[in-house]
Amino acid sequence: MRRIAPKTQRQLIITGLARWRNAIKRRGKRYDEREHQEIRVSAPEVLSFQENFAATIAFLDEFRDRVLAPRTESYRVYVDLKPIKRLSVPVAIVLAAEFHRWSIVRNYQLRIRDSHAWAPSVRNLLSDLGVFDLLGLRAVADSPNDDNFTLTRLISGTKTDGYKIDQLQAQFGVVLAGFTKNPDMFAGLMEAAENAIAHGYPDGYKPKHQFAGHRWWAASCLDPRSMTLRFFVFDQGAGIPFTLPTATFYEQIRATLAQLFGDFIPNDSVMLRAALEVGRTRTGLDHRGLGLKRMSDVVTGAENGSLRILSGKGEIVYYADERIETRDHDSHIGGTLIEWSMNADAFTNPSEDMPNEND
Amino acid sequence: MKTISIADDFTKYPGGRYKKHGKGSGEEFREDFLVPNLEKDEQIIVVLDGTAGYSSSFLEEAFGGLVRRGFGRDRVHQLLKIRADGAFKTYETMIWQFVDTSRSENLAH
Repeated sequence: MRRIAPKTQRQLIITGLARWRNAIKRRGKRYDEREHQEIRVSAPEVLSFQENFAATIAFLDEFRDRVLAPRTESYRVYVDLKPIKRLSVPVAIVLAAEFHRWSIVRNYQLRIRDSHAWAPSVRNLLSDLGVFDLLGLRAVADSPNDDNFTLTRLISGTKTDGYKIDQLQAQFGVVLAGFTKNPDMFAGLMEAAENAIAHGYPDGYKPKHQFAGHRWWAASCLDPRSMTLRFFVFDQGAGIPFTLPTATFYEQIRATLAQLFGDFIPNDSVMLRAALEVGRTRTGLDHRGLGLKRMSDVVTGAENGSLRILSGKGEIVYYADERIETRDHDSHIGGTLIEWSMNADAFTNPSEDMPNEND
Repeated sequence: MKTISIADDFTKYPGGRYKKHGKGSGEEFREDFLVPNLEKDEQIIVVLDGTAGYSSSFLEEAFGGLVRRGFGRDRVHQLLKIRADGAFKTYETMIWQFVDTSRSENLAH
């Protein structure tokens, strides 16, 4: 049998399709253009949870609906990133996770389009974050990141992986003189990743969009202008407020809620606050539920330290001086995003007793 | 008396609670290192230093899990010694807290 070159094969397929369409037309039938239509999901100019929460969530919701919701008709989806003028690191991580889920759930190799028209900062941020590597695509950035961020590559997993988690800190050893890894930071990141796997995607929860396994994503960055280190862990699960009732220490949380709010029906931020406070005040009473406390321990007393948790429709920020701020939003973030932020000095002034892992 | 260094003998990057959630878990450490020695009534020293850190779930499952596994608290205190320096000192406190508050499997579940 004669072998056909790949180029000729493609040509034959194209010719065959054209003949098939013509044959349909000749028989008086219509070629259905709708099956080949393209749906465009356009991003807003500012993608940031802090500065433009509503529009950012609306964009992410439309993205998920178009890409992941069950379809009755066939169409291609084009996620247009050209309008973005400013993209924050946390949203970049959530967006990258959505692209990753798309490729996993649909078993689909994504393609990059019009990347030359993206804002350079967007191109560089996504490239430095390793989004294209994660999706098996070639990076599109052609210049060093001039936004003054040093990012670690986005990592993801459906298992806890101490080595991967450790790398979120270890990579700063290259750019920060005297950098020493903080065991508490490792513990906090590990708690977050394990919470995502073990509790973030509960069996009884019917998600609006299919999960890509019990998966977590994590990254970290350094802003040399403010010398701030930030660490992120994200999951696309039900959100902490939803998963709390299944946790073994829910009775304690209910008691705390009753003390604080009486018969008031708790919203998501109240649930987050109660979970954090129960963890902090009832340490050791139960063998679960200490995760949030360990996460907050990392920033307690650290200069400019804060822990921000966006989960469900709630947001909570825990500061180094143990102040807590809460906020409620109209929309679900689509999972849980945990962010630690603190001055890099917290990692460069080790006590004499602390072992230096970088030696 | 046997000395077990978690960093040298088990892993430098301890994971989470259960084996099913990934390698280097507290359950794995307990079953492979602690239980075989404690069953022989052998005194052991566990050295915590040198790892990247410990999640509370790792420590609770490894050490608090001994009580749930049927080892009495007194026996655990008698046979188990913890060695930790510097930043790892806090983990020693946590371990004993977990051992002392963990309930036996028969009572708890």
